[in-house]
Amino acid sequence: MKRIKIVFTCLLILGFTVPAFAEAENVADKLSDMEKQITNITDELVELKMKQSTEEESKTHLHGYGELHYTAPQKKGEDNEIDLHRMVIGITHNFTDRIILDVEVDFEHAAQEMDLEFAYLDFLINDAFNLRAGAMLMPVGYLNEYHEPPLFYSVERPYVEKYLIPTTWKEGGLGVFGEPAQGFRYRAYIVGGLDASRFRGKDGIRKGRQQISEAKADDLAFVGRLEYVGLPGLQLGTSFYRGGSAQGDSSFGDATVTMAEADVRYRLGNLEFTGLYTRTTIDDTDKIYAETNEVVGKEQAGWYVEFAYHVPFFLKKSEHEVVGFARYEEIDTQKSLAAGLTGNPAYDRDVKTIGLAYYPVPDVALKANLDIWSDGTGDDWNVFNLGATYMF
Amino acid sequence: MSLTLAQLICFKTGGVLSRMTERRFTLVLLVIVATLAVFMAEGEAKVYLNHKQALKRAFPEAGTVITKEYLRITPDLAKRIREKGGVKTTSFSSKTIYIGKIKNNIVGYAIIDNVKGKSRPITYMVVIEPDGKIKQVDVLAYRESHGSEIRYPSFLKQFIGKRVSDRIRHRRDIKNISGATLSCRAITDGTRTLLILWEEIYGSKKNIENESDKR
Repeated sequence: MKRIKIVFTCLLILGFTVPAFAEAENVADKLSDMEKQITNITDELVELKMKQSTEEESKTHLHGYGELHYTAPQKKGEDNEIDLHRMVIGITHNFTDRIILDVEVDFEHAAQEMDLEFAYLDFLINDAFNLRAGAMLMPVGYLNEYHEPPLFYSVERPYVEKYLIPTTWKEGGLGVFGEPAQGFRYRAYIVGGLDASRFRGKDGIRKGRQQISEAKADDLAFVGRLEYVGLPGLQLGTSFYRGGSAQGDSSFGDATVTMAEADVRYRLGNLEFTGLYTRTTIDDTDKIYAETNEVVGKEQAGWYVEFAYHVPFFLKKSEHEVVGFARYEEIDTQKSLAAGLTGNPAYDRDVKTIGLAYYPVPDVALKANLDIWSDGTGDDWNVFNLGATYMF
Repeated sequence: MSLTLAQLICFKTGGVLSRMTERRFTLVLLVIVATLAVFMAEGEAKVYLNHKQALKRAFPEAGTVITKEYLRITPDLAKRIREKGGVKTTSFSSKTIYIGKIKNNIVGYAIIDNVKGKSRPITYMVVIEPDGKIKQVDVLAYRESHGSEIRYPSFLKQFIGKRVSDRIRHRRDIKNISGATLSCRAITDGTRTLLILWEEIYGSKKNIENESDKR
C-alpha cells in the first residue's frame, strides 16, 4: 500500500513538473509580450495625458493691441494732436477644436467711439476647405487682416491703405478659406456691399463702408484673395473685390465697385522689401455726382514701395531690435473722371516717409517718422509722427 | 434693415455671377454650412501625426529600440532653462524623452511637447542627434484657424542642424511665414527651449564624462 502511495506521489510530481519544464521556454516569450504590452500602455498613457492637458487649457483666450499717436503737422491751420487712436480687446473662444469664435472690439480715440473690429465663426473642416461666417475683415491687401501696429513700422498705416484700401475694412457675410496646395492660401467671401451715397472725391470708397450696423444689403459683393507663402520670408498676394453699391436706389445706377490689388513682401537677411499696387474703378460716378455733388474718381489707383532694415548692431545678445525704413507712396483718388466732371488736383498725392521703430520686445514698438507730402497743386508739407504701440 | 434668408438667396454680386448661378451658389453654400456644422460639433483637432507615427518618423531605421526616460524637472532647472531661453512662460514639471538606440548605441532623442500658439496649444516634436544638432522638427496637431503653415517642410527645415549655440530666434535665425507669425514664434521659442532642456540634461552629462576622460 505504502509503495503504491510513493509511486502515485512520484507520478503526481512528474505530472506537474514535466509540463512546467516545457513551459519554461515560453516564459521569455511571455515576458517580452508583456513588456511590449506595457510599452504600448505607457505610450498611450503619455499621449492621453498630453491630450488631457490640451483639453484643460482654457478654451477662451484674451488678446488685444493698441496705439497712442502724437501728430505734428507742419501746415497752416493744422494743430498738433495726441490721440489714443486704437485700444482693441479681442476674445477667441474655441467651442471645439474645429468651431472657433473670434471677436475684437475697438475703443477708438480713448474709448470715445466704440467699434466692432470683427466677430466671426470659423468652421474648420480640412486644410483645403473651411467655412467662415459673421463680421469679417476683408481680405484686401496684406495689412487689412493683420493690422496689429507692431507688425508695421510707421506710426500711421501706409496711406494707400487708408485712401484706396479703406483699412480697417470689415463687412458681414459668409465665405470659404483654406490651402488647396502647400504654400497657397485663399479666402473667398460673399459680403454686404458698399454705400455709394457716401463715396467722396478725397478718399473714394472709405466713407462708403457701412460698419455692419443695420447696413443696407440690397447689393452684395464678392471678395477674394490668393496668397503664396511657400518660402519662409516671402509673401505674394493678390486680391479682388467686385460688387454693386447703389443699395436699391436706382438713381445711382449700379455703382459697381471693382478693385484689384497685388502685393509682395520679402525679407532677405536684415533687409525687408514691401510693395503694393491697387486700382479701383467705380461705375456710374456721373450719377453719384448728380445725387451727392461728390466728384468720385471713376478710376482710382496707387502704390507704394518700402525698404526696411533691421539694424544688426542690436541683434547680438538681446531681444531689442531697431528697424529703419523708407517708403514712397503715390495715391490718386481721381485718376480718371466721368465726362464733364472736374477733379481736385489736391487728391493726387505722394508721400515719402522715413523713420525708425524700436522694439524692446517683439510685441511692443516705439515709432518715430516724418511724412513728406506733396500734391497736384504744388503744395507740400511735412508731418512728424510719434507712436507707442503694443499687442498681446 | 436686416438680412433675411430670402434676400441672401437672391443677392446680387454686381454681375460677377449670373442670377441663377448666384442663387444656386448660395443655396449650396447654406446646405454645406448646415451639414458640416452638425458633423463638426464632435470634431477633434487637425492631427497630422499621432505619437506612434511621429516616433516612427523620428527613428525610421529598422531595428531601432525606443526607450523612454521620465524626467522630473526641478524648479531650479526650469528657471535655468527660462533664463537661457529667454522664454518667460516656460513651465515644466516633467517631460518624457524618447531615446532611440540601435544595438545599444544612441541614435537620437525625441521630445514631444505642446506650445501655445495664439490661443491654443500646438503639439510638436523635436528630434535631436546625439551630438546636440537638431535632426528634425515635426508638427503633430494644430488647433487654430490661422497659422497651420508652420507644418510646411520649407519652414521646418530651417531648424535642421541647429544647435543651442545657434540661438534659434524667431525672424532672426528662423524666417517667418506671414499670417502665421504667432505660430512661427511659438514653435521657434518652443524648439529653442526643448534644445536647452536637452543640453542641460544630456549635453552637460556628456561634458562631465568628457572631462573625467581627460583626467
